[in-house]
Amino acid sequence: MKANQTARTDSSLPDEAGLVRQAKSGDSEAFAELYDACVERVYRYVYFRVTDDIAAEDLTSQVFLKAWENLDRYQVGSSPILAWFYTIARNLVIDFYRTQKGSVPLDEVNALPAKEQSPAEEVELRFSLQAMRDGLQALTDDQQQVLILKYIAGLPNQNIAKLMNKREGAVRALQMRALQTLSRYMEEKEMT
Amino acid sequence: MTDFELILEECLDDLEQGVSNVDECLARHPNHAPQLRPILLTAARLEQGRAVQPSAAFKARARVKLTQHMQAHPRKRAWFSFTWGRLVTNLATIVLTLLVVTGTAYAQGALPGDTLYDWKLGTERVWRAITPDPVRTDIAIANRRIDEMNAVADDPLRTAEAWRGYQEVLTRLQAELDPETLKQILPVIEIEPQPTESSEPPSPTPLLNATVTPQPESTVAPLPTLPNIPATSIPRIIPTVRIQPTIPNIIPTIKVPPLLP
Repeated sequence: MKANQTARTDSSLPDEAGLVRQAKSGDSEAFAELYDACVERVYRYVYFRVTDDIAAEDLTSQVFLKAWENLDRYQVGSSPILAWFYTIARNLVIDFYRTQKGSVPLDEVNALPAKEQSPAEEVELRFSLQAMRDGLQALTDDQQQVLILKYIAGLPNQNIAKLMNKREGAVRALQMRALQTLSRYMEEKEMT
Repeated sequence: MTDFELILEECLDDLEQGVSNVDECLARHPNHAPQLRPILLTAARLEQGRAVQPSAAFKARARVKLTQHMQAHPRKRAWFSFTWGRLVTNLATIVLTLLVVTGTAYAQGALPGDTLYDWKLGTERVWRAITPDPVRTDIAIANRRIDEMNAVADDPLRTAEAWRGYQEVLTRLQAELDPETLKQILPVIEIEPQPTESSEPPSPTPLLNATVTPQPESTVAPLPTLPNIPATSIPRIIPTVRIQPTIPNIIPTIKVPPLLP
């Protein structure tokens, strides 16, 4: 199974600043365009932060509702709007785990995309990603953050550092430690 | 960083940039291959996560929900944009600054009783607070009061106000006339003590060497009876200070007769 080659890894949008300014002045159509441009990446981020697909959808939806309500707090040009969406998503995930006692088991969800794959490949990918998703939950919040932003969102370390308010070197070190921990988890999981 | 961490970082960079794949990295570092393999494979597997996409149904559903939410909670349209807001703020700051500067400059010509006179006194307080040479500043302020007394000589109330200001400066200067200060100002001023043994109170000769130009009695308006000027506020030693010509505009012409009988 190949990774989705069409997934955008850059964090800028065409005329992002213009759309944000319009949205700030009350233009809901402009904000809807930002939604269209970012919803997949926000969903992907949330998907790997929670083990519940329904929660992933619900939280993704909430990210944009909250963003609309708090758009005044976002300063155009300070960082890409997507980075701000990720920040909102992270906070919502943290709140979700604070308030949520249980979650829907992974085998009850059916949210995997599959494009141009055989059924066998799709099953393999599903298991692989579910294992990965499960393994990510064993990491600290910061470790999850750096791995998802780096390998799934595809952000460069410079942007991740800015987003997490850390130095780039610290982000690199965090990524390596997180990868080692996750790989050990995956090894143990495969062995059992 | 340990050797292993450096190698790991190099391999992760190579994978990210597509320079080499997992097998090529492992082949380059056979000694670390057993440790590197699971980590590099994990990184590669993580990238598969980019394949995850929300369903079209969810995207549409969430968009409708968002649209409804935006209609129910419309954002207030700002009457001007942030850029315009900044421009207006900057302009307001400039206008305010100009008003303060021109007002302050204009106030310097105010006389007792004028609307801007308090402003003038306020700027003098600021001037005195920030000046490195308070004595010289007080002398200049005293001269201002004398000029004011001359200018409002025909109005007893206004003259009294200027006189009170003049007395305040005198009091301050007296307090500053300690030996140390005198050493500093002696090069600038020259003090000639006046006899104080007289039973009559000393005339309020300005501390500064004022050139008094006597006016015909008939043309000079009577000065007010000054309210309770305590004897202590009148300098016991009334020096005649002659400011050297290096300080311009310091020798005013007093048109007023002696204020006290």
